[in-house]
Amino acid sequence: MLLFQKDKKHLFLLAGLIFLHLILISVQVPLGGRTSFFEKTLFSVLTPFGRAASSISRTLSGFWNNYFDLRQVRRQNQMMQNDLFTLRQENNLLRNLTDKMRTELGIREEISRYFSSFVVASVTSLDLSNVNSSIIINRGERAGIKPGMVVLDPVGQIVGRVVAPVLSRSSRVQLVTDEQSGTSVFTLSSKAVGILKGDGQGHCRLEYILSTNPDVAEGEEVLTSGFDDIFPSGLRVGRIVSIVKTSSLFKKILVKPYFRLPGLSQVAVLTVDLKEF
Amino acid sequence: MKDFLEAAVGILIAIVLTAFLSRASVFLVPAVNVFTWVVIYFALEKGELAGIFLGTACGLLQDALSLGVFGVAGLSKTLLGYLAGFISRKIDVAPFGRNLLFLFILSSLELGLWLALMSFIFSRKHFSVGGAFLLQPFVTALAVGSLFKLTRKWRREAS
Repeated sequence: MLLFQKDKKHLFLLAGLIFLHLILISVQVPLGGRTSFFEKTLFSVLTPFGRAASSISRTLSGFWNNYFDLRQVRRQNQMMQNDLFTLRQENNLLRNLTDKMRTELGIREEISRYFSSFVVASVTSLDLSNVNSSIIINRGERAGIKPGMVVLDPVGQIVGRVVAPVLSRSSRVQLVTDEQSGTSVFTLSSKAVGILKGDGQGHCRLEYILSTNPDVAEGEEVLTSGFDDIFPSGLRVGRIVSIVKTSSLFKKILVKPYFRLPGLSQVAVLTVDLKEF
Repeated sequence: MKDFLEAAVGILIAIVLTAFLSRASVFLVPAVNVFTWVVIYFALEKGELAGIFLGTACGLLQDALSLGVFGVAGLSKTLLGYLAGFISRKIDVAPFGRNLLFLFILSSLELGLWLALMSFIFSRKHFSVGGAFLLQPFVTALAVGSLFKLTRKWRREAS
């Protein structure tokens, strides 16, 4: 009898908690893309642990490598890699700039703004529910990061954009491979404009390309168009890997993004609104 | 108090291990869900009450580290914690082989529930995740099963 009462108590507790979770899930509908205070609090409690563990792991692996490899060469290599990372970002941004700027004077004026236009951040954690959905980086409001900012990989290829919550020292980045993401893009050779959506498995789908469009081909490069007012135009996104003609109005096009999640330890967050340029 | 402290340490270990895994390999993250290990371990050790509370805590922590609907992992892990504690009280799951099978079924159930909830919320027939996710029940069963075996051995030797 006592055991039965105990079971009943546990069942009530379970029902109560399930009800609480259902309320928590329903509350998010009117919130839309915004994060609830509760989620933001949990996120802010968790990220320091992640950052610390990531930093310890980096330190330990650095210690190991420095001791068992040629120490000096390794350090120099690291420095050169950092320089290369920065130079590649600058090079990519400058290339975009020179494409758009008509006069030499204009270039001179804007170059100074470009050099301080990105923040280098380390990836501290991956998405636990779907690795192709988001990442957490170790830079936040203190570094001038805000939701909506564009995130690039070390060679200037698109990774995603910053989404809420952004804390003082960490923020979340929605990857282009996330199913809820959407990016306005165009194909380089055929100039077909469409919407790129993630498939949640590390690839993207190029949507709204008419079945009657004969020009789009496999292997074609996909770039951002800038029509979404989020990503500036001309950033490299990926390459078309397969095109399937369906009975529907649009083609089924699969795009392999250029950025590679395995090994992605550093990213660049563009902190200026590139639409101004 | 001791139980509470043990649970807190368990959660802390899960957070740190998850952060290490994130840095180690992209392929390990979907296959190794340390939060599930903690929920199942404590539910089997301490009963369904611990399972329910730890399920809620670990699930919400997992939700906070994921982009998407907050509360889905919380809900599925709460149910996992309850089922693990309740069933293990009704049937003997101590033998290693039976333990592995039980853990595998539980972990598969949790994964199935999570996928079903995500599909329902996003109104899709199939909610796609990477293939490595499907390894999660195997990895969980092996890890928690081995942990139990080691703990029992250690306790036997200590007594």
